[in-house]
Amino acid sequence: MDPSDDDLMQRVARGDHAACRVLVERHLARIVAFAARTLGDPSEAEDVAQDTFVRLWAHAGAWRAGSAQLSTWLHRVALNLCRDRFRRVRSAPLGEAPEPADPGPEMSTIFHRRQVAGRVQDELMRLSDAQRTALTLCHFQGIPNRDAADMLGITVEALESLLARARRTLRERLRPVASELLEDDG
Amino acid sequence: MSRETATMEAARFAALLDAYGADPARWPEEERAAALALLATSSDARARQREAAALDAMLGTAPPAPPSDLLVARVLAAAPGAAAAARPATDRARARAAWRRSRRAAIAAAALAAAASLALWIARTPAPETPLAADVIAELSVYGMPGDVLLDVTDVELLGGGDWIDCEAGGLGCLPPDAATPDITGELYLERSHA
Repeated sequence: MDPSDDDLMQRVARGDHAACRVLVERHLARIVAFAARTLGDPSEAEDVAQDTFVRLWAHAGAWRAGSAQLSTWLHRVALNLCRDRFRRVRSAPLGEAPEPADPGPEMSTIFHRRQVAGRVQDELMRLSDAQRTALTLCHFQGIPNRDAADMLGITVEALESLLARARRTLRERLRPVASELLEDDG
Repeated sequence: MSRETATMEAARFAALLDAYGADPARWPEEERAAALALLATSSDARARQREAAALDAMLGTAPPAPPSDLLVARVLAAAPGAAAAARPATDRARARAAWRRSRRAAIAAAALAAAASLALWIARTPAPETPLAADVIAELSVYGMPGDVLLDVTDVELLGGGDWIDCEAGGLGCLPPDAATPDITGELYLERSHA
């Protein structure tokens, strides 16, 4: 049976490096993904992730089993770090990939999907920071609505309002791309 | 306060789709069962869910990049116990390097010792000579070979001049005192140092 996050944190507090490795394997990728979607900058996202885990190691001695979900705690720290960077980081929207001279049928599909993905990322970055963060926490990271609302310092109703506005905006802006994607899948 | 089943659930269901999308796994846990029940009975609810699924599909086309190996290394390097985890490998590497150095030194020392032994053996071993004649052999007393006298000598100087060892009685290899110093190439002779 895999050790719980609480058990691992107790071992980390005792200097168990193997426990640290397990926690990194469990949580690092999700924190990087969260920061990447929130900031739109992979390099900044890795810096945020690194800073998040440095704080985790420093906090290990004070961790209390059952006090919180470690994943939620990590996202909260990462969110705060992202907020510090919001004013500094305004990554440019991803440019469209250059069209190959003569793509084969399979490459054409792959290239098209990359175009769609790039366009989606562009539109995500055009959302307000609050809407993008709410959508990233709930849709991409799977954070429960109460935890996400708590992180953002708002009510669940306010969170759902943010999410609804974000989705409506994306739906409108991505409507032409949605048709093309549906045609490819049809 | 409970909602009216028919109306409120439809409106609430629309709000769920607007906020959380089409995947029931993303709906709030406490409302999921009621929403699934509506889906089972309402074609309109199912149509709304299909519309919401289109946006979910597009959002799913932008998978995040995995963390780089460098990031993983940096995070683990800052973790508790990192120094201790790295030390045994370092110590093993140092031990291997020290063993390689000592092995090289041992090999070199062995080679030198072998060379020295060879050189000493060559120096001590008399050069091949013409077999001793029977009358000469008969003259041998204590020593089996001319060089055996070295076994008794403790204060010998390998210098020219002076008395010859064990030549008082005109022993083997000795020359008359007044004889000219012979060409000693290939021969061994000793003289006792003067007191």
